[in-house]
Amino acid sequence: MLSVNSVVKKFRRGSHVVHALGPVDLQIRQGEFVTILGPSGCGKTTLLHMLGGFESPTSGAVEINGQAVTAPSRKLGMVFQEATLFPWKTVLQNIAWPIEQRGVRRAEALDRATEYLDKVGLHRFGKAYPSELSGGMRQRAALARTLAMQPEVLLMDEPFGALDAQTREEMQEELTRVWQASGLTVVFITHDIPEAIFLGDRVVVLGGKPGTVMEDCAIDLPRPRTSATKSHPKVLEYRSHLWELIRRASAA
Amino acid sequence: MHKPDTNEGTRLWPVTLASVMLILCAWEAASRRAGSPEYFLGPLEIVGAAVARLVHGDVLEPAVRSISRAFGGFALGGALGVALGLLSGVSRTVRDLFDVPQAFVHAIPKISLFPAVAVWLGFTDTSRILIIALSCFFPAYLNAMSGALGINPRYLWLSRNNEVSRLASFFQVVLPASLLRTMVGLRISLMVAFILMVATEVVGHSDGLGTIVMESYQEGDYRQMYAAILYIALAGYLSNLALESVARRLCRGQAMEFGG
Amino acid sequence: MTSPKTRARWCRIGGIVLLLAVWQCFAMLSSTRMFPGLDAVGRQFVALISSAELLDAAASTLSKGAIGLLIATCLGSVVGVACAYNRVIDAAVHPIVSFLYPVPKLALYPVVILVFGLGASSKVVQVALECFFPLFVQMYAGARSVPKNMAWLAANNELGPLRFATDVLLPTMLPFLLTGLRVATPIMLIVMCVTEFVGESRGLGALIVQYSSYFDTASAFAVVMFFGLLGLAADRLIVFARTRLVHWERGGQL
Repeated sequence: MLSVNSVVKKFRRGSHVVHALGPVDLQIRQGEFVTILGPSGCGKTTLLHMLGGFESPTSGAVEINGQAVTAPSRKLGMVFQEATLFPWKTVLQNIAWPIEQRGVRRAEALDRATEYLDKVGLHRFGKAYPSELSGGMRQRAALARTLAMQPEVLLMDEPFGALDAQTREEMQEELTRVWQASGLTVVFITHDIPEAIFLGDRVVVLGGKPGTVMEDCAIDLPRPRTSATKSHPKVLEYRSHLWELIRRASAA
Repeated sequence: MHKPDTNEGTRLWPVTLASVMLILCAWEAASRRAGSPEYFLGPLEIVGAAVARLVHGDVLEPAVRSISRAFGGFALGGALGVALGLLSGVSRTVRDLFDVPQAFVHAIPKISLFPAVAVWLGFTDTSRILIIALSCFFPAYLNAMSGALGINPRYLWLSRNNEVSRLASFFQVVLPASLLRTMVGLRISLMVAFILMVATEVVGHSDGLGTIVMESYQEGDYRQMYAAILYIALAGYLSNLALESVARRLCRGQAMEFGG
Repeated sequence: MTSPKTRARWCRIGGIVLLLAVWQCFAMLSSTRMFPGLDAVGRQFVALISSAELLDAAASTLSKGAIGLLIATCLGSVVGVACAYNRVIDAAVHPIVSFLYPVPKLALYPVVILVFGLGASSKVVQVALECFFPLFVQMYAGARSVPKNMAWLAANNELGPLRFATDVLLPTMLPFLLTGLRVATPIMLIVMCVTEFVGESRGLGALIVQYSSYFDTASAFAVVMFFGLLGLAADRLIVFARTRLVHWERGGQL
């Protein structure tokens, strides 16, 4: 459904050109949860930005359902690393906002927004302002808001990176539960190996300079995934395998 | 549309040049059109009048007088403002003492005091410099105080740890640490000094550049008027540039900005 | 010793007392006609307020000043946003504005009078001219302060420029607008005062010149006091407006 065809990204820095990423080839099927794993600076965020149309590849193309992605659109909803909620709106108003952008009147949008609010377990915090919430709750609100866009694909840029370890684990379980119920396609960026394994149907390992796909690793763990899945024996295998890959990727 | 571009400003200087040239040419063309009012002079004529005046030798005296008034008031008000501002920043007592009086006097447009002060002291340099100094005091005071308040307390702990005396700490720690904001305040003070200089020369009898502007206007001698305005603008621009370079050298290593 | 809070309060009171005492000393040392005592000023202040003369003049001054401020705000916003979002416009306009900033625009007042006549419009234009600059600086900074992620969020939701302006730009620029107004309002008062000194004018500045020419310095100072009160009130109003309008930012400095 989503295809990345020989995408290359080069930046101009001062007088010389930096070859940051590519060529990268990737195919993502409808309903898949793909995690992209890699060390810092490998270009995974740039790849995500290109998937969403926020940045353009220097060569190659990104396509969704056969159509080229050239600009941001509602089809590919982005969840940022910082929640980026409007501080002047309440949580519910924030979630209702994308709905309003599609032409729905405010009262009805607020109504529909409560559904998403409940989906992420924030039903008691609709009237709160973002500054009153914890980091984890803000990310949940941001997730609900992106879901309210009714996208076909969810693009997530290390959304749990800024959270503490405990909250991160809770959010991972939350996310996989929400995803399971939604049927969305998800592309999830992370540098956290256990997170990549827990969430993904596939882990795409990016690395080297310039960043390319080092391996496309299928994760054969039972669905739906719960906290019990974390103690599945295969998890350790995947972990050590991916660790090795990442070490090689960082050294390159 | 959505992303403000932040980089590559240096590559666009041709646009700036083109824009400036366009404005100057349009201005010149408009001033030469038949039917344009007689007070509408073009840039070439203005520069010509200014140069003629310079050559004639009678621009130096009033210019010097105006500028020395401006700088006199700036030096007086600025120095006092910085000294008291820094003091207020580090001493709660001083800050509270000055809090209400300065807020009230600050709110008064100092120029409004000029006619009354002039009744008392006459339309002399003294009354003018006094008003200019009073106006320059406040931006210097407020910014110096803000700078001193913003000092990382760890710096002060450091000097106490090294048993540095209060006076020495003031000059070795407080002053340098507050320098950035103090310089911002002084740049605003300088601007204010020039504005007040013009304002005080326009009222009452005087002999500076501002007076020339007013008198030429009243006599209908527009060439002289514009020439004087040009000199005022130049004086303001150049002094600001000078202060900016001094500030840059003093504040080396710290990020500078002009907030206005 | 006494608690720091009481010390602070005593210091504040002490400061006011000190100021008033210094004033009275000056008044007593010079001839009262030239430098009025506090009692004279106070009396005149009351007299002027009750005669409505002061309030009439204030209304005249403030109405023109407010219009000038409005024009400056609109222009400053449009140009500021344009420069923030278009590199070419920025390169064409911004350096010129920065160049003109330290130039005393008051020197151009005669030109403004020549173009707009000696009436109210030249005052309004002069206020707009001088207040444009700080407002432009603030609105420019405000427009650029939109976090990149928020701009991308807007693009993600396929926001057109109009909705981007209302939903994202406006709330983000609001605190900057208020700071700009806080800087520009004293400028407006100064400009109104000076422009009312010259020509046939009404308003507070004209009153000051009038009373000074009669050597009635007590009344002149009374008007000055009133000017000061206006400035203070405007400042407090803007600070208050900030706490209500920019309700999501608490404890920040202006």
